[in-house]
Amino acid sequence: MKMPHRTSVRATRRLRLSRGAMMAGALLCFVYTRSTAAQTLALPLPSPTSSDVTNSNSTTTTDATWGKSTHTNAVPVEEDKRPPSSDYSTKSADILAVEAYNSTYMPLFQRALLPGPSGSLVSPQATTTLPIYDYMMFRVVDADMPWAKNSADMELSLWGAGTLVGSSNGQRTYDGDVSVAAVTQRYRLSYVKIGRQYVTEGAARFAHLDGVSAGVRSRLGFDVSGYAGWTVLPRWDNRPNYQHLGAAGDSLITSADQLPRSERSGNWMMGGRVGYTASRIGGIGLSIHEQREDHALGRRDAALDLHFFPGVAVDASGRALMDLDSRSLADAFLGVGFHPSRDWDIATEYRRIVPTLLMSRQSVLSVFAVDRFDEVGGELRYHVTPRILLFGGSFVEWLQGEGVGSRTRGGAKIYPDDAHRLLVQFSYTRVVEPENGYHGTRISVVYRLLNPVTLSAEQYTYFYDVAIRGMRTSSVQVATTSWRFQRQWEMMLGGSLFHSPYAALDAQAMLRLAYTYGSALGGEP
Amino acid sequence: MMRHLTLTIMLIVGALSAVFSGCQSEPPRFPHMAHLAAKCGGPGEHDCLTCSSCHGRMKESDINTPPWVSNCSQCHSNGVQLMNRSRKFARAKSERLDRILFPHDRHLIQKKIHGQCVVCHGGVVDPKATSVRSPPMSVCLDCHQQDFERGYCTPCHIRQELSRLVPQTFLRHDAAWLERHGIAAARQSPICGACHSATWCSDCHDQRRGLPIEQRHPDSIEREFKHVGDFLVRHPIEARSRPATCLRCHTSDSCDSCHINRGVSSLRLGAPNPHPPGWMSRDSGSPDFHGRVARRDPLSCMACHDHGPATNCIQCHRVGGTGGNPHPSGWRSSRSTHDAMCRYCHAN
Repeated sequence: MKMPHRTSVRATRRLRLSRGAMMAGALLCFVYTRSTAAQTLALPLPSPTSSDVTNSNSTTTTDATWGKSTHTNAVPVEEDKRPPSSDYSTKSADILAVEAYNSTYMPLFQRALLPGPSGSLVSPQATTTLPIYDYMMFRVVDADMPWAKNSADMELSLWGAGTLVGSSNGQRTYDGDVSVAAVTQRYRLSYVKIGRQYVTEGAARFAHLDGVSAGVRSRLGFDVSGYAGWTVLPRWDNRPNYQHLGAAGDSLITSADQLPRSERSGNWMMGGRVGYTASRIGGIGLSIHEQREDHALGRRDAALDLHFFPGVAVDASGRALMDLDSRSLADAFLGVGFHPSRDWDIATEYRRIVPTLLMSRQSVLSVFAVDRFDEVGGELRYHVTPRILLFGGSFVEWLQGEGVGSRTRGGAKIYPDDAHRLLVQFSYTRVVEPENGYHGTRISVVYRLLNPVTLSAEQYTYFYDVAIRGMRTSSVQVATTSWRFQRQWEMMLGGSLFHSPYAALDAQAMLRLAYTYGSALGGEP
Repeated sequence: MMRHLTLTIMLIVGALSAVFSGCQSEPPRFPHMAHLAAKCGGPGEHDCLTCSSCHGRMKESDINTPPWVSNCSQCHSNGVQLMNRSRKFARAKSERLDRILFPHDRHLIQKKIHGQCVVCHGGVVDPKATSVRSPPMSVCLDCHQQDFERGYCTPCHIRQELSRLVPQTFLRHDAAWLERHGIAAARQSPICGACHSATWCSDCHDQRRGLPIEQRHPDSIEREFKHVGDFLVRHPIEARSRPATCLRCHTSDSCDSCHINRGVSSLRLGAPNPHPPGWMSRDSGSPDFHGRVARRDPLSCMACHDHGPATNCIQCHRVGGTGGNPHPSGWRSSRSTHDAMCRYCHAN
């Protein structure tokens, strides 16, 4: 991705003032969790043994194996303030979890920078805008069905956006879509999922489809899964981005209205995976993925994935993705993790990628190059004590035709006190690529001032090897204050200051209001 | 630059001072071995202890039930103090273990365990063991592998807490997890779904959802977001450093959509041409010649020009055109020339 600044006129090196006036957001989260009926444990039912005699105050146990007879007086004391075990017990519990949240953000800001002649940025008449974003999710997990208990899940996720005041040039004043709308039915070792969903299995990488996915696993360790459906296109049925064609001089098509309307039925995908897992040893899988764009070939890939965990101290995983159209290796990865103790994580990896083979076959650029890049490196994480975590990593990249690049990172997370009231985190990053690079530092502090009040502050600073628009540095300062004024309500006030090649000063503020009931299973907040 | 460097150094020094002034040594662990191996039962000696002497309540409960103070006070006058110290160590090591649902009574009668606590809890008598109280989950999976692989976690874990638990053995969310989680999801997505909703994925991966996740959660400092700080300025550097990394989450339309949102897209009428002089010249040896860049970094071109065959590339690079053959050495395809893409250039 190239930005216009690469060829911009130096005369505009100091940018005009970009002043984000204010960002205000509101987050409402509602999580409701309910427990009903009985959950069937995958464990044998208890059978009272004659060796256990229990009364309300004492337990007499004859441990036949150890040949000891003990008597323990069970006298509760005040120090034991944990809830009674019945709060957690699932002996007769069927857990049906229902989760929902809604979050609404209303950022108010003033956009002052726009593209100008010869790649420069200019400050035309400033436009004040007030967009609104809304995110909603509803999920039911482990619902009972007449034929199987705890076997059904449902998830619905929506988002919407609009511009209440001062829409920007070329932007829609409203937008929105369904991210997920799917129902899952599990039965023994199989499942079927219908609706709008994400598929990550095998060669699919990360696909979004309207359709069905299903899988079945045998007790011998074999598993088969598959999926098929129509590709999810942005904003219901428009072909991705075709309403945003480039400038007239940059395209054969001068008007988006002249484009043939994409047929929904011509964009579909299907795939499957066959795998085998050996308990506590590892597994291997073969998968295929075919994707069509307007009936023409978009992707046709095959993948091999494997993983081994011979012990808790070592694990290895790998994947090879082959583009069947060109019969070439598009992506190969091999990673080995070492965990010599609970306090150490060491990960090493090698990766080879041919970027153009990951592009759609309908991209004109996919026929222009077959260059690849290789990367090798590793990361580590070490808990010096339960309160001090060190982390770091380094990778070297060979970019075919360009040279060598590298990425290095190191830092620490520290909790100075037992109660973890204070977190101090700092890190250093060094990135080098053939045309530019940077040194980056980050310092973060989080302090739980009182039980309901939390303060945080962050400072980012970047030093560029080659000046961008005449500037060698940029910095970001962020601070937030959150106040849990009731058990389920939290309000956060945040602010940030940017100083970068694109903005001499960018100031923002954000207000967030959150309501949480129960505990979230995922997603926001 | 010096001003930023000075400020950064001062902040680092200040943070380090605050940190190390507050650091204390780790609390001592409970001396299980001393209690279990001490001389006992004889004249003047205390009663012999077994695990159930203090942990007898385990058999009655599905959750971890540590001894009560009275267990210590039977022999030690400062029982309360000793108990608090022991609990402090337990909390420092892992508080989450208190929330495992585990029916000891049902497991102790299993043949593999045969009533022996140390089969699973051998770490309590090993002074070098880092996991003291509970075995790693891999021990559980000796019998419950099938449950694990179909994402059936709630017999042991509390449903509402799953999203806050971090796997310690299999699927260990280790140092490289952020980079590798896609590899794991490719083979074990049902397990991911046990803790994470699909919406959780879309929060980061769905670029069409408006506000980036980093902007929605500026206070989540402990979470490792990819695009922190002034990523807008750095993203050309990051993209060139690892050319295909962007494609893990982004497609060409997401590049262009973001450029439009930021007001730097060529969509605008009269938009600037970012290319240097000589970009379209016939001098293929020029460092600014577009062909060199297109071959070595086609993804940068993709950010603006990935509109299928209906782009200006084909004006010159079609069969009989002035641009010549665009296919590099080694390029091949199994598609027939009747494919929609091929027909734009190979009409005949």
